[in-house]
Order: sequence, then structure tokens, then C-alpha cells
Amino acid sequence: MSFFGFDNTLPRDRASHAPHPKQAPGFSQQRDAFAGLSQNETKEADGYDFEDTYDGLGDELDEGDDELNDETFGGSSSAAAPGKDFDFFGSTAKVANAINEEQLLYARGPKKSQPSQQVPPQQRQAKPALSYAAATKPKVVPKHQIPTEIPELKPEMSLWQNTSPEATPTTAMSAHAAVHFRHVESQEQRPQQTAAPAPTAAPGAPVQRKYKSLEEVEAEILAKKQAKLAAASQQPQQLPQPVQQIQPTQPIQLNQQDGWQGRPVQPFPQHPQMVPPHLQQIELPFPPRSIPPQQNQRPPPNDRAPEHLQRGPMPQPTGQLPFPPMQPGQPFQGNNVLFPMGMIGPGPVPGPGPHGPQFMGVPPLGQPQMIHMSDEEKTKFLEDESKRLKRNHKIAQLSRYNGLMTPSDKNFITRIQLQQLVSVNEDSFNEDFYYQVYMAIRARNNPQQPLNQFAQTYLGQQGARGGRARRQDNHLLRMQQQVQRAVAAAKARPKASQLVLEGTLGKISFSNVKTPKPLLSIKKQDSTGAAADPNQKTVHSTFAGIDRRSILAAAEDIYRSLLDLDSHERKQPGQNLAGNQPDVATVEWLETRDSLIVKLWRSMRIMEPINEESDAPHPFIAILSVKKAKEAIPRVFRYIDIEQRITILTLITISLEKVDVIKDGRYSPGECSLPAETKRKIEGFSQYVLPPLLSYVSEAQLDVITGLLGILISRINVLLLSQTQIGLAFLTMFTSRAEIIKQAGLADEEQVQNWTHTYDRLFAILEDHLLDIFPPQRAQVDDMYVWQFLASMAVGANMQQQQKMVGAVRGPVNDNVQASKTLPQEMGQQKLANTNLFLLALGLDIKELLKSN
Amino acid sequence: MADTENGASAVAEPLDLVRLSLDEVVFVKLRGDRELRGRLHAYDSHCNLVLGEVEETIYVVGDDEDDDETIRTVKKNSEMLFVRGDSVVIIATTT
Repeated sequence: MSFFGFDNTLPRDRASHAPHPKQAPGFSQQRDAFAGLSQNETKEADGYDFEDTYDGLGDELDEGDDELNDETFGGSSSAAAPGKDFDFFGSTAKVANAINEEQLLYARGPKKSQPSQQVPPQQRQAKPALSYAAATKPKVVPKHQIPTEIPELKPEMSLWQNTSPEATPTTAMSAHAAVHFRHVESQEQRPQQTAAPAPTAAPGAPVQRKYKSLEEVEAEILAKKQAKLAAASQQPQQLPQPVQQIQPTQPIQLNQQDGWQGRPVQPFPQHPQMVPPHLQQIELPFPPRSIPPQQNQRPPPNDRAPEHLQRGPMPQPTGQLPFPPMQPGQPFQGNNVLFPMGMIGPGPVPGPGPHGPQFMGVPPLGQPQMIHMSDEEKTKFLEDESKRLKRNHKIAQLSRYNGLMTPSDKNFITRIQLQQLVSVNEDSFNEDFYYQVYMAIRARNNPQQPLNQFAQTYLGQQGARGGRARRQDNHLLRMQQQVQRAVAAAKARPKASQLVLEGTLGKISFSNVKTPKPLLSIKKQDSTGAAADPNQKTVHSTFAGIDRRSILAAAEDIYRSLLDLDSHERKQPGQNLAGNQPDVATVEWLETRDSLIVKLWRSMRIMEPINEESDAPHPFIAILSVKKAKEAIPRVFRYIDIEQRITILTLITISLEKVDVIKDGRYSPGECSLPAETKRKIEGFSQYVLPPLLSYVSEAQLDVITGLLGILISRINVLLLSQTQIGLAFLTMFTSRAEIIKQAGLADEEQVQNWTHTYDRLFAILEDHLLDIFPPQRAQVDDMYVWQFLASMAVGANMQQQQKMVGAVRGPVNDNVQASKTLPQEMGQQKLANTNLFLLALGLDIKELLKSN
Repeated sequence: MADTENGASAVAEPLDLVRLSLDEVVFVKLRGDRELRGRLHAYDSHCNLVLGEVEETIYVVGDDEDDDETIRTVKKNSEMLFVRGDSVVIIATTT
């Protein structure tokens, strides 16, 4: 029957069928020098019947006690998920003693397990004559046999081989002893040979080892026979040689030959090389034997640690393998034949040294001796043995990762660690402003704590944190310093920018990133720049807003000063709580602050002389035309004092005509809306510039207001001013403030009189043009500012003036009332409210007007 | 007096010119036949820009099927735009 699709016709049959000569190897056939020899061996060929190879051992297996498997293998009870690392030894080691004892017991027990079997007689006959050398290899025959039946997959006994201390002696015994021992045990050995290897052959490692053709198998049998004969004649060493020649193409051997030992795809091929030559000869034909168990048991990491493997304590790993207690009825004694290393047992000294000498020099305690031991001695021996195995296991575990990293790997990791040290030590948090502030805010437990003290807390914490870190990371710091020193040294390494060779006229200059080779030699502009400065000065004195770039630059100057000041403000030292006398730091800080404010003030160019003749606006006014300059005004007002605020207000007031929002803010005839740009400017001005001015005005004295309004009236075309939103806003600002002061009685008689006089002048200018202050009818703008102005005027007006105003504004009032009826509710209400503002100032109410309508 | 720290000190390096245009409407020419016009809110040393009220103009060379010589412009408006500096060719002030 053909199980794997092999051509299983016997060679002699094939010879009759096939025209293809056996001597000429086919494509799929391996060349087999001994193929022809088997043709006459009809008996051997017949021996490959199932009945012959199956020894019935499987029937003898004890199928019970499976529930103890968990106990043995650390199964479900440990609740651990099956991992990749099968620690059979770990669990088995616990019961190692019991196993050993059991094994010993069995070894000493009656040979009752003689299975009923049909062993071919000639093989049985051969057994007694088995020599030591032959004893190491008889399994070859069944192993390469094509299985005629899928055997039950059970752990092969040979896996556990080395654990049994009493198994070792056999292999280590002298040839004589081996023969003797073998003779005694050949009966058990027989079934083991046939039954056990079959599983390994089938599920084993097919990659390394392909199945042999029938010819090869026969050839092997032949070789075995010869080996037996040779063993009988006590010449074991010479025999395997032909066998070795039979399998020259076996992958394992290829591996050995092309130097692949370093990569132990299968760990074993190395070993033959460590074994003394004569042993190797014997063993070489059978390396595959040991591979399947080995591959099943070795954890994968071993593949990555060739060094460890080369240290070669092969018996150790195998020695860890536990006995399967589920096959109690199976004889183990035969297993020593299967021991992978052939003759090298796990001797009492399983060091990493070469095996050969060990085997030669130290004959281990043999089983025969053990049998003669007393019980006490035996248990002691077993205990020692298990202890030793445990120790070996530990060593193997520890050394499993030896040499995994190359020196360059280690260097790499060291470098990473160094880097981390440096970067971690920098304490990134210290640099993180937001983190600092966040921590400070969080640490500010007391919300009532004043802000400046809070700043102190914040600073103090920072210091404390730094200190703590320093203490903690002292050694880290030292490390970092070392690294930094190294870096600094590398940096400081003299870098000659020039090379002057002796005896040469010229010199060679190098260039690097930091100091590029100068291609042009240009002298610094210091002297000429200083010389040019006066010129610039004159230019700037006259520039005054002509040049947009200068305006922008000036605006940037303002911002730069502002930012300096802002950042300086944050550095304010904490208040000296001890005494009234400010400490040095505070004094210094205040001085710096003052100088910065002076710088800011200068950057605004307010104090530049007003050029009366020129059409160009004052520099400050010019700067103010830029939106960002307008936005800067509120921030500037935070720093400057009252005097400076008055100066700014005055300057703006007297230059109102030239302020862009006034200049461009009038509605040109026929136009009903302003350009978008101007609108935006007006919005910006009223949003940024007016509020600080207003806040100042709302605290100003009446004479200041009077003075300002007087200057305004005398210098500025109030009519034009009144037609712009900002202009009206200024007028409203002054008049309303004056009225508030007047009504609150905060001013004396003379001031009030002065004010009234100024007001009269203003009213006189405006009274005939009150209609012009309104934006064009169709302009869809909020005219609230107009009504506000009218209201502020009306409050301060006397009866006569009020009548004039009412007469002038009646039209717009009526218009508004009418429009509010057509407009949507909301807008209408607003229009009415605006109008009502003015009417209320007159002591009227719009409701009366609505009723009358 | 104030003049000594005028324009000259304000412009010490090329990007200070850009600084002058902060909060102003600038014209930015970009790679890929694009132009932007918008208010410069921020910039950095890579010429990464943040622009507001941007009008973007893309010049497309005729993908009409007839003649491939016509140049079309596509205009887009964005309220706020981040411009990566590596595409900036020119930053110019307007007006």
C-alpha cells in the first residue's frame, strides 16, 4: 500500500515492470549505491508487512489516568493560557523524584511487559549479538520506514530519555557491559524500537528529512545487518562508514558541510563535530533521530543563541524533559538506545566541555550499580540527581540569552540611554511656560491672595522645584555634565579657519557652516551709518507721515517698546513685605520700567514739533492712521501718566482735522456711504482710541475740557468736524463731560462761565448747520452718534438754544418717527430710542410725538 | 531724538520688512500660480504666514478643450488662512 504516494513496489517487482534501470537514478530517486544489494533479500522485503512492524505495543498502553495529565504538565489547573514556552520541565521537576523512582522500580521489576508480537525471527536473532555501537542506532530501521498506519501521536519515549538516571549508564557502559545488558533487555527493547520511532518519523521534521525510497530503506537494513555482524565481531567503529555514504544527500549533513552550524535550524547537527571522530562516525548516519524530539522541545529563543548552543550542554536541555507518566506500562529501558547523542549520556558532570573526553574519563554511575544499591542510597542518589538536574536547568535558563546582543547593539543602547539622561534631565517642564503658569495657578490656593504676592509664590515655587530636582537627579546631573563637557570639548576643539603653510605667501582659508568663507570683504558700516544718521534725522523730521514705510516702522517701534515693557512687567519682583523701603531689586526694576516708558513715549513721537506750515500731519497722527497703532493706544495708556495722557488728547484734538478718520470720514456730496476701508478705520478708532481718551476725559476737570474745546474751536473747522462720526464723538465727549461737571457742581463759578462761553461759541458755529451733521438720508448707518451729540448739546443749551435746535432738527425727528413705522420692529424701536435720547434731553418724550401724530 | 531709533533700527534683517506689514494687507505670491491678498496676522522665520480676509487667485492655463492658451483665474475667499512658508515666493505690501 502506498500511504504517501511513494512508489512502494518492491525493487524486484519494479525491476520486472520498469524498463528504467535501477542503476540509473531517476529524477525523483536518490542515487542509492546499495539498492541492488537488497534485491536478493526477499526476507527483508517481506519484513515490511504491517504485521511485522506493528508490535502490538499500542494495545498495551494504559489509557487510563489521563486525568492526571494536568498535574504532570501543569495544564488547566494552572489556568494559564498555552504559551509558546512549554515548560515541561518546570512542572515535571516537581515530581521528578517520583518519576525516577517509578522508573527505577520498573527497571528492576520482572520483565512482564513482553508484548505478544510477531517480530521477524531474523531480527530477533540479531538482537543478542548487538554490540555497543549497534545499540546506538538500531532505531534507524523503523524510523525510515514508511508508516503503514498513522500511529497514535504520543510523546516519544526517547524524549524523556535523558531524565532517567538509570538510562544513562547503558550508553556509557563499556561495550561488554552493553552487550550484556542489551542481551538481558533486548526483549523490551524490541517493541520500543518499532513502535516509538514511528510517530517521530511521521510528524517529525519533514523539511530537513524527506522520506527515503524503499531502496534506501533496504540499503539501511542491509547496513544494519552488517553492523550487527560487525558488532558481533567487536568492531563497531568501522561499520557505519558505508551507512554514512548511503545518505550523502541528507539535508542535515548538508547543513554541516556548508558551515551552517552557526544557525541551528536544528540544534543538533553541531554535535557530531564536538564528538571525537570515532564517535562521530558512528553517530553520523543517524542524526535525524534526535532531531524531532529536539525540535519539539527546544524553545525558539535557542535558535537565536548559537553561542549558547555551541557551549553544547546538550544533555541539559534534554535532561529537563520529563517523563510522561501516562505510559506506565511502556518499557523505558530500551530508550537509552535512542539517546540522541548516541553514547553520551547525561553524565554526572554535564558541564559545557566536550562530550567525548567526558564520556571517556568519567564513567558515570551505571544502572547495574544502582541496582545493587540499598534503598537509602538509591533515594539519596536520585535526590542528588534531581538536584543536579535542577541546577543545570537553572544554568541553562540563565544562559539562554547569553550573547544575544552584539557589542554594537550594546553600544547603541548605551547611546540611547545617554541621550535620555540628557533630555530627561533638562526637565522639559521647567521650560514650559504654560505648565508653569498652570501649576502656579493651581498652587494658588487662596483666591484672595493679591496678584503680586501670587507672582512671588509662583517664582518661589519655581525655585523650589528646581532645587528638588537637582537633589533627586544628582547623579543624573553629574552624568549630564559629563556629556555636556564632552560636547563642549568637541566644540572647543580648535577649528582653524585659516591654514598658513610655512614658506608660502598666501594662506588657505576654510569655510564651514558657521563661518562661511568670505567671498567679499565689506567693511562694517558703523562709521558710515553713524555719519548717515544726522541726515536721516533731518529726513525724519520732515518725513512725518509721507512715507508709509516709516509709519509702519514707527508703529513697529511702538509695539517693540510695548512688548519690552510688557515682558518687563512680568518680571516685577515681589513686594518687600519687611519694610516700607523698597529693596534693591524693586528699585532697579522701577528704574528700568521708567526708562522703558520713556522709550515707549519717544517711539510714539508725540513730542515732535508740530509743523504748522506743512500739510503733513504730525508724526503721531500719521502713525495713528495705521490700524495696529490705534490698537496700541489702550495698551500705551496703561503705562503713561496723566500728563502724557493730556498731551496725547491735546495733540489728537488739535490735529483732528488731519486724523484720517476725520479727513476721510465726511460723506462726500452725492455719496451715501463711506468707503469700506474708512468705515473700518472709524470703527477701529472708536473702538481703540476713543475709550482711553474718554476714560481720561471723564475724569478731567472742567477747565481742561474748556481749554480743549477752545483750542478745537479756534484751530479746527468745526463744521467739517461735525460732519464726521469721530468729530462728533469728540464734541459729544467734551460737552457731556462739561455738563456732568456742571450739574454735579464740581466746578466753580468762573470755570462754568468759561465753559458756557466756549459752548456758546460752538453752538454759534453749528446752529445753522445742524442738519448737516446727519449722515445722508439713504445711508444705512446707525445715526445714534448724532442723536447722542444733539442730546449732549441740548442738555447744556439754554432755552433759546434749545428752541433753535428743536426747530432745526424737527425734520429728522419726524423722519425717524415715520421711518420707524415702516421699518421692522427692532430697528424701528432703535431709531425711536435714538431720537428719544435727544428729546429727553430737551425734556420731551417721543411718546407725545407719536400720540400727536 | 526719537528719530535715532527709527526705521533703521526697526529693519535690521530681511524679515523685519515683513514685520512692518504685520496687520496690514499684503500681497503674497505663491508657487503654483497662486496669489493671495490678505491681512497679515503672523509670520515666522520660515515665512509661514497667517492671513486674514484672504482673497486667493489661482491662474489656470486654459483647460478648455478648444484653445489651451487662455488663462483663467479662479478666485477664492477665506476668512483665515495658514500659508506654509515653503510655497511663498513674494510678500509685498499693497498700496
